[in-house]
Formats: sequence, C-alpha cells, structure tokens
Amino acid sequence: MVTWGDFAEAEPDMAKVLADSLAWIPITYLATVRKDGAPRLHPICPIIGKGRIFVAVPEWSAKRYDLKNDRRYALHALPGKLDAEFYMTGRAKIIKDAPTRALVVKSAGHTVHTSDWLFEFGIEQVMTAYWEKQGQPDTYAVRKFWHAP
Amino acid sequence: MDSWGEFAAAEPELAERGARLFGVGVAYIATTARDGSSRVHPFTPLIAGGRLLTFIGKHTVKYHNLLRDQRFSVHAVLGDSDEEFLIIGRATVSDDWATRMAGAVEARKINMTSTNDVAFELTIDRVHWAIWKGLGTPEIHRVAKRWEAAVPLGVFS
Repeated sequence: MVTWGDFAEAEPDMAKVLADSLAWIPITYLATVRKDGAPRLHPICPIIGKGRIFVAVPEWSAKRYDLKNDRRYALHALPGKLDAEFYMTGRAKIIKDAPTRALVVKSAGHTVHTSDWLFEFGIEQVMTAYWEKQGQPDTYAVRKFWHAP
Repeated sequence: MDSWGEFAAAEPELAERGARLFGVGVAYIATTARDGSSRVHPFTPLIAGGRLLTFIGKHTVKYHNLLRDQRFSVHAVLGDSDEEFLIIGRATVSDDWATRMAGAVEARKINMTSTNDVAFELTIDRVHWAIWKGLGTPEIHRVAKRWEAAVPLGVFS
C-alpha cells in the first residue's frame, strides 16, 4: 500500500487521468463494505494535498464506520474524454492529528467541517482505461493496471 | 424486494426523479468481490416495462460478482443541486428473449451497444434521494427522502 504521491511518481500518466477528472468535476464514487458485508456506494470529493489523498466524511454518514472498521474501499472517477476511467482500491486510514487536518482543510476545494471524520486513502491497485470505437459494435477498452509493490 | 414498477407506483415523484437521473445513460453500481471487499463500476441502467434492467458483459468483474453475491448498491450520477438517487437491492439474471428485447429498445434510444452480455433485473430494497440546499454557503444542508419496499416513505433532513 502506498500514498498518492508514490503512485503518481511511479505512474504519472495514470495519475493524470484522475487529476483531469477532478479538474472537470471534483466528484468520484466510493464503494465501502457495510457491517453486514453488503456494498455501500456514495459520491465523494477526494482531496489531494502534499502527495496524499483524503476524504472528509460528515459525522452523520454511515460510511465513516465502514472506512474506520473494515477500511477497504474502491473508488471510481466520473468518465472523462473517450469515456476515460480511473479506478483505485486500497484501505483507508482515519486521520486525527492536527497538522494533517490542517493540510486537508487547506487543500480541499470545499468546506471541511470540524466535525467531519478524515481518512487517507492508501493505494493498492489502480486501473485506467479509455474506449476505442465508441458507439460502434466493436468498441473496446484499452486498460492499464498498476499494483503497489 | 420490489420491481421498479412497484416502487414507481408507490412513489411516482421519486421514481420520476430517479428515471431522469438514470436517463443520462451511465450510473455506478457497487458489488462484492470474492474476498468480501466492495467494487464499483460504471454501468447503464435501463427502465423498461416497469423493470430496472441492465446488460452486463460476461467478461466483466461485476458479472461474476453479481452471480456470486446478488447484493448491490446503485448511485445515479449527481443532478442539479447535487441531487442524489441511490438504490439498494439485489440483481438477478433475467436473460429471456422478452426481457432482452425490452432492454434493447431502451438501450438503442441512448445509442448503447454491448456484446456477449447477460440481462439482469435490479430489484429494490431501499431508495434514498437527496438534494443539497445552500451549496457553497455555511447554511448548506441536506433534504432527503427514503423509501423501503413495503414501508411508507419517510422524510428527514
């Protein structure tokens, strides 16, 4: 498991797919594991700062317990040009120290409330893709995979 | 567990909002992997004949996940005022000729094509809908509705 900065250094072109998507609309979809093992899905706004990637979760959101207890997540960006996809999996880690909270607040493009729970996404796997021959019967995805060392 | 039509009969306004958001042709579905972790994938929801359908390629991760564990969570792409529409339910293979044709008619309307796929019906346990008011202001707050199969609509915010 590595940080966003480690991944971006290893695969800058793949990291750019998410950066471009967030520059367009700063929303991704986050899947977590509920207590009963079923999948939970919500839109989130990832926050990237100093080579790390975070999410601020409202204190009323059930997914905060998923991220705290099970920790496993999967994140998918909105489609970009040529239906570009960015997909990332790993484990989240709760953040409680003041310097990191200050970094998150400073880096976020939206309001981070003092009551929000903060998590950092550790990265295990990333997949990017774009689609050739869109709208045609023989359309196909060109995919690239990366695994943390 | 209800069909889309049963949900729409119980909550027509909510269903209309959901159908509009699904109408863009892409939404996200979370499934469960073999190791119990969640996966999330883009997919195309199709409302046809009072059923919520989708075609899923046999080569995809979500196909194998849904065969093994039917539970899913679907989220529409956000609408105006960050409008959210979420369904929790179970997916079942429904790959008979009539279902495929009904789905294909809706797929053609949005120029969706796929090959080597299987039709699934998504049945509904719960629906969550929400919008955000006061976006970009300190007074931001969420207005939400929730519907459960065979349970009346509750409103909370």
